[in-house]
Amino acid sequence: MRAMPFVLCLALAGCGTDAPPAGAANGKLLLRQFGCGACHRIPGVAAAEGVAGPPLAGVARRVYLAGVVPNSPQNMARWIRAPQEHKPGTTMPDLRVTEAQARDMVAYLQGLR
Amino acid sequence: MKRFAKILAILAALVATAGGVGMYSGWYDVSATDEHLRPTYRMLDIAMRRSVRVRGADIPVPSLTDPAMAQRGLAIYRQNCVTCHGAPGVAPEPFALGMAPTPANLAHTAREWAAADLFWVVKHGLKMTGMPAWEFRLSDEELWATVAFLQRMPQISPQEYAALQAPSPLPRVDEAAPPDADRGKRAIHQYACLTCHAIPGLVGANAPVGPPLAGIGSRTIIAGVLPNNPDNMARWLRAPRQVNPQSAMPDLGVSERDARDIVAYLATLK
Repeated sequence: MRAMPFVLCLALAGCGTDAPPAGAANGKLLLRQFGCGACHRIPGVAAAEGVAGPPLAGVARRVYLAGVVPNSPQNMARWIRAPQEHKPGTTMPDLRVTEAQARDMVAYLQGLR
Repeated sequence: MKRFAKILAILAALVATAGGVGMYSGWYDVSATDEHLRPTYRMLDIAMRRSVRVRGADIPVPSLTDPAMAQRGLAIYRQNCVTCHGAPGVAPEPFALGMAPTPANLAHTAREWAAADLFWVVKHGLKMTGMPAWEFRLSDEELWATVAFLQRMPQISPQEYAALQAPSPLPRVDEAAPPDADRGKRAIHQYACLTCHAIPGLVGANAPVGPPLAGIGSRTIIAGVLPNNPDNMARWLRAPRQVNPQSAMPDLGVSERDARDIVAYLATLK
């Protein structure tokens, strides 16, 4: 488990090209399946026009997530999986996203620059 | 005549091209340790003086002779100005010595400049010089008190200055006024909002530290925790860390009136 960030780094290495990282397409699908668009505007995701949370255009360049967590792929995945743990009282619910699912969602969201 | 126009047009194109190349190539040194070229310095100085004089021309100047007024100005000067500008026998702080342009010796400036021009500069600040605007920090009355002190300063010896006792500054009192979206738009610059948020209609860093505020007027939740209404937005702007102690958004000392005006502007971003 402790080797996880390292493995993730390896998995993400070689993503310097313009091609979307592995999982991004699946992540886009998952963002739709989990209803993220009910609260967020997400470029490229059909019907994602919610206005409860912030729009996710350019989210890859944002410095903080939810105003509390420094933005990195790892932190974004953690935030998606357990928002209430990172920011008690936030309107964003825990949606029981699995680790693999979160990783794919992040792969798509990190492409939004 | 036609030929003359043609030559002019070619010259203008050449100058524009040279300017563009100079700008884009990184040729001009923007460091604060490398002095300006003399023509650049003169040009900037003249443009600044002319800009101030034109804008100060219509400002009615109140009587500045009351010694109590200069006394209040001294307190404001010691609290806000001396760090950069120094005072008779007092050096600016080390950080201010590294600024370019170097903050002026105001005993000299006060002798040369009209009171209205001093007032205008202190109130509105000067772009690209490090001189901040005090409009959102000091009332007009306090600004005039500062000018009254500045006018006295050239006559004060270093010994006298050191011996001067200043009254403690009065607490800030907000003027009551209905919410004003235009003033709010200006206030947004004065509370550094653009260093962290992209805000439609404003020119500045628009950096993506926090979320962009496009459509914030239609957003239903603020900061993930508060229902979006004018009272909550004002509360959030004034004390974000009271609402959420973990937030990266700092308490910026936004006054009630300034918060109301900023809320009025943000509400227009549908």
